[in-house]
Amino acid sequence: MHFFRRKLLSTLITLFLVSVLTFSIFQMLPGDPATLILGIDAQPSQIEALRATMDLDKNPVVRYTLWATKALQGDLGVSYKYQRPVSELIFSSINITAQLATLSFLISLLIGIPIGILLAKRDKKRVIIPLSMFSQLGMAIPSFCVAIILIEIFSVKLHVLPSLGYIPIGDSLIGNIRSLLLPSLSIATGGAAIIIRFLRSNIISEKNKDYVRTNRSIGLSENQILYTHILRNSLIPVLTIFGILISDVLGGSIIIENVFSLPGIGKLITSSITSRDLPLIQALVMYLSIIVIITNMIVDMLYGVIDPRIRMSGNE
Amino acid sequence: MNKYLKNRNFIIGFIFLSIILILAFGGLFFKPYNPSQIDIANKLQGFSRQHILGTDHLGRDILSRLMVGSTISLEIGFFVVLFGALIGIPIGAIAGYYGGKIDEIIMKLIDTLMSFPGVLIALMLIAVFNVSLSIIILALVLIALPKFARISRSGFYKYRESPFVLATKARGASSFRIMLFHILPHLVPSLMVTASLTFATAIISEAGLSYLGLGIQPPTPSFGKMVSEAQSYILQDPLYVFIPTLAITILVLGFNLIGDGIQDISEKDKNNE
Repeated sequence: MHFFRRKLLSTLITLFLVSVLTFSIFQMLPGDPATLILGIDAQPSQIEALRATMDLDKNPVVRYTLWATKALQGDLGVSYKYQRPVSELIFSSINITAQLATLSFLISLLIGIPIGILLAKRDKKRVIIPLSMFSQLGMAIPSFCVAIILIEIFSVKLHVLPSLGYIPIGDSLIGNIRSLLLPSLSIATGGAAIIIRFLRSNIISEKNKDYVRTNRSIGLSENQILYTHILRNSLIPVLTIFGILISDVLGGSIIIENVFSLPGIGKLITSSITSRDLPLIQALVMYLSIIVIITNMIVDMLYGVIDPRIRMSGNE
Repeated sequence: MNKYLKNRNFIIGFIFLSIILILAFGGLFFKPYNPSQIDIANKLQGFSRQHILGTDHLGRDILSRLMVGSTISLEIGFFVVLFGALIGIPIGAIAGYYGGKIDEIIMKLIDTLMSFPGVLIALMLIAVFNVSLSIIILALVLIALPKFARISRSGFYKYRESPFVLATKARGASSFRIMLFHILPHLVPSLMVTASLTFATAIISEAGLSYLGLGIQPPTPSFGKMVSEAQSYILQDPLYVFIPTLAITILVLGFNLIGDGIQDISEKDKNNE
């Protein structure tokens, strides 16, 4: 129990620090926000009134506490541009990003795990070279370039998949998957490459362990040893990079949603930057960071459940 | 040096990087055309003797733009690695060498910085301070710094009680001297790996920001912006989008392979010891 309490406490501290950091960065904004909203021609009394409603006349610590308590109650402020509560805007677009992220995540596991295993087996020279090139390229080509190559092949040349737009799952399930397939593939190549490299080196280092030698000496075939013994031990550590992958997938979807015009969180964030919609950006940054932090916590805890050694050992 | 020349990853990476270096440095002395020179009459021309890599949608010479773009990418990568290392390594060194409470506090702050998805830090700073080269570099340094700090921290932690450090301490050497002259040299290979991977990440992130229009601002050419401009002309001239894509890939691949190469070599050295 001690392990889980420690993880939870550490997560809460991180959340607190992230919120302080986010809040402080937005306090460094050059110029006075009230003047920024009302324009330089506004009456001093109007500006004073707005400053009071925005709590700008109070000191930073008080402002942070007010902001944080409101945020905890689900009130993230009102968007300058849309004049709607920020939470409403996030809620209406998170659905798309969540679908995109899940699909990308699944695809990167589906590509990454088999290729990682194949590369670690080192027996089929003919497939190894192209596959290891794939994993190197997957790390080197930016996701938006992958997206454009995929559009060129599947939309322009073959006309099989749409190059932009989103079809809600309610309208058509097939249409929904078709509209998300190219975007998720573009995001997934990077993640798949990370999984391939990580899994491959796990399996290779696992192969030199004593239990593998014992298994060999009792006459098990290499494949039997790989699939029944090594794989289990090498797949569990893959859990530890889920945090990195989630962060990667969310970062990737910010760019990819813009390539394919998908109205998700990523599109919302870039359009809020161009219109300098600060409450919206601030809330989105907090929101996405919270997702990453909570995922990391869950992954750490799961890892502790699966592998008791982690729970028992100290910080190292 | 010989061991570097025998490593395949390092050699291929070095060749890739050299291609971009030649473009960038060549461009400093000689450019076939002015990269911002608009010539609508000659737009979207493929490869030709006048324009070796063709022209873009405004008739600008792609090779000249690629040369300037390479310089910008390398410049950003260089400063990000430089500042990331200069700030991150000492922070990690203090945490790892002294351990205890200082270590815990520093690492908690570093973990906090790492829990923002990378692009998000950049977008947040751009939203508040507007786009400029220094803000982009600052944002990318904030993404790079934790990586240097963590590698440096684990290195200093590992060596702080090793026999040679204790011996030097017994001779009365100052902590600063021990850290700089006795521990740091042992960490050079792993820090070099981090540096080259960070260089690669910085280039990809900058390209992403420029692609979104939130990075390097026109008329200055950058790889990311070139891709986004070329995207609309994919039907008329597929090669136009292919060239900047290839340039980013070669550059990033170069740094990744060099990093892998140094890693291989330092592991081999460790096994031989």
